[in-house]
Amino acid sequence: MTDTNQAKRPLSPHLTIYRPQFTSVLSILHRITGIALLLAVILIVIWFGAVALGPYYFNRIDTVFDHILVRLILVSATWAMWYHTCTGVRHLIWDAGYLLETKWINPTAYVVLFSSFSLTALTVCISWIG
Amino acid sequence: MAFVTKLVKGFFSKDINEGTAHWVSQRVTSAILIPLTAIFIFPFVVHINLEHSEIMFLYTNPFRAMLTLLFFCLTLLHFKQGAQVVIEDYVHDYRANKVLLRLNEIAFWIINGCIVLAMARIMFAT
Repeated sequence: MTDTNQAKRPLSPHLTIYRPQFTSVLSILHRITGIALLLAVILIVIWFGAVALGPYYFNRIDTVFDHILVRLILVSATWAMWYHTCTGVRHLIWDAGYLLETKWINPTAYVVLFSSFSLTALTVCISWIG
Repeated sequence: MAFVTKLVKGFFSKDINEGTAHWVSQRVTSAILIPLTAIFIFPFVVHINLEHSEIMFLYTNPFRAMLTLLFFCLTLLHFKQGAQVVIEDYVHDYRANKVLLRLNEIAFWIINGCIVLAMARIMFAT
């Protein structure tokens, strides 16, 4: 007997049926920040494009970049980038076969969160001081 | 260390299947991107506040220009690889899946083309 519902069965990953956990949220955030960073990449590519096109276009882009909303996007993108980098390092360590024991899950997660925020603060400070 | 040796071997091996090749190259791009991100981003956040002439002066330096280009090409490649996995994981409709994978590829080449052209023009500006 064939199952007529075969095609409609839910497929992995089952995002909608799990209660959110600290660890799963971090993992999902890694993907979300990764995808969201495309926006930042496009913004910076536009910026370099304007630099290449000359002072006229550059000044126009520069005023857009000075807007508080764009600054906010850039600062968020900075955090997203550092978060993605830090969790990326964590994933690489796991892939190499280290720190896979349960007791390491939360400590490494806190290290990742702490470093992502510190690195963001550092980057913003460097940009501010010049 | 054994892991790195395995990765390098896998990266150059012709005997591995598509999935493994994708996995290995994704680890390789991410590992290279860790130092490259730091090297690119810390000076860049200062440059973003500078005037046009100062930026042109900095980025006509071939070393900096090549580094920037390398950072963007690897970032975009890494993004393409990541987005491919996300599409494969979440888009279950066969046709939508194929269309999105193709769009991902096209977007990768368009953005890559833009940054290569921009950096080339900055580098060879007189």
